[in-house]
Amino acid sequence: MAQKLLKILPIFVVNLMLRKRVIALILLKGDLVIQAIGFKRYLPIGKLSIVLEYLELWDVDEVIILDIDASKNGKTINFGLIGEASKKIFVPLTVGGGLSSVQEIEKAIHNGADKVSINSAFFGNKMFIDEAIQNFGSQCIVLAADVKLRQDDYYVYLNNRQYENLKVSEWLKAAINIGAGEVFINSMDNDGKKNGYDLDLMKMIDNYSTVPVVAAGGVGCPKHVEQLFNQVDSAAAIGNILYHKEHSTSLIKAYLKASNQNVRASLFLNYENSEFNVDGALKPIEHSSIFLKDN
Amino acid sequence: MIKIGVINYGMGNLLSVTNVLNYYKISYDLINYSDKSFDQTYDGYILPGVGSFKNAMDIINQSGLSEYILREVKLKNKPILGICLGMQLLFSSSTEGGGANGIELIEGTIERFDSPVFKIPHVGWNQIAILKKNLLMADNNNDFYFDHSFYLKTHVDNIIGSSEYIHEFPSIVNKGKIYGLQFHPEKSQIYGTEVIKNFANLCGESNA
Repeated sequence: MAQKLLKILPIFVVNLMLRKRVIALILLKGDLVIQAIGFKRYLPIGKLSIVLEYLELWDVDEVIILDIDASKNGKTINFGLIGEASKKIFVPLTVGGGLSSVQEIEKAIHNGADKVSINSAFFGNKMFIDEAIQNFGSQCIVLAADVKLRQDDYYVYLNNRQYENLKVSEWLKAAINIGAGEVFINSMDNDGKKNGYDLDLMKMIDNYSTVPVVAAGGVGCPKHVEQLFNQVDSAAAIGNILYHKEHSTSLIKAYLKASNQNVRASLFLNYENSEFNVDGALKPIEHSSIFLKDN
Repeated sequence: MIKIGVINYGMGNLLSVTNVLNYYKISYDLINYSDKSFDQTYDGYILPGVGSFKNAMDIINQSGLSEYILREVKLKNKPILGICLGMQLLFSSSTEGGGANGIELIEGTIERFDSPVFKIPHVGWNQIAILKKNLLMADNNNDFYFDHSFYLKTHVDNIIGSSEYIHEFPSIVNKGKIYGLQFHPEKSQIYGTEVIKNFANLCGESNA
């Protein structure tokens, strides 16, 4: 039988490439989608199912939904809300917020989550993560860290407090050892500042990580995503600026495409003939045109 | 009207698949591994799933689902569509977790991606080169969502589409009425959900 199995497929001329991912990061406080300003103030955005209905049309490659209060309050994200909302989108969905047992992970999956994001619980009993990986596979488990620069190095924070002097490099080693499918790194220093991703931090994570990386914190304009993609092999999580403009993520993708980044083509909206400013914002309408695609 | 049997062996996100079937108003039943017997015949089957090959096969073997699938597909010649891990399970064996045998509908082995450079799993949107005309997908340049650490090695005759990460690997396979997709059509927006619709159409025609 061994001879019958081809080791190498016939070579043909195509250029197949894994695309760079632009991921919508949605924060929940209770059942409400919010926009966080720093780590303290919040603006309400609206209902999750409506936000997802838009994002499905706006070319996001994935969606991450995090309940920012769940773990602090000893609760989990509202699974029923996720189950209802997941009917609105046909892109991968990652869900996080207080998940700390195999049963809770299973509930998230049965309510439409393809992956789960685990932050706080990774610091407690790690046994359940082992078991979850056994049951659902590595690709299902995203380990997430909030990271801050302090003097000489980057450290991991838990619920806004520094966690036992844990350097992010040590955290990353542990996350990879336990079998994480992806790591999600949020820069607390840059979060909400709109001055771009923490490229030093993300470069360091990219260098050490053998699993895919998702970078979060600091994106203020499409140009920042381009900077990240040029310097770091990671996906880009887009937070607050999702809500700043109509077609926000479609516009980011259109800008990236115009800058020769390898991103997935738009499905419903066509900004191909548009012009962009240096920061990646769409030029006023006399320079740009938008067409609805036929499909 | 046709009816699809969606096989539930307790692993992975079934809701995404049933969301698509509901969207196209395709009727289906869940065939649960915990059911006492499997005696109903459907027009076609979908075997979804993510996770560990060995754990999945343990459940499929112990529940009697493997005999059921073999009976329906091999004896009654019903179409089946395996998705991601579900596709891998249709083949002979996997090296995962010290090795395990699959349902063995098609010859082929599942091995882990290995690279000092590339990050594993292969996750994100990638393209598919169509090698042969088929009923699931036309030749095009669309993107589909992948998330897997293991890939299939099988005879080229079984491959109708291939993709590239680290090296080329089969992303759509077909033998007779057995179909497999390494990517997630249920998570690949319109181009992916249409693949599921095409499979349902094929189930209808196959019974006509």
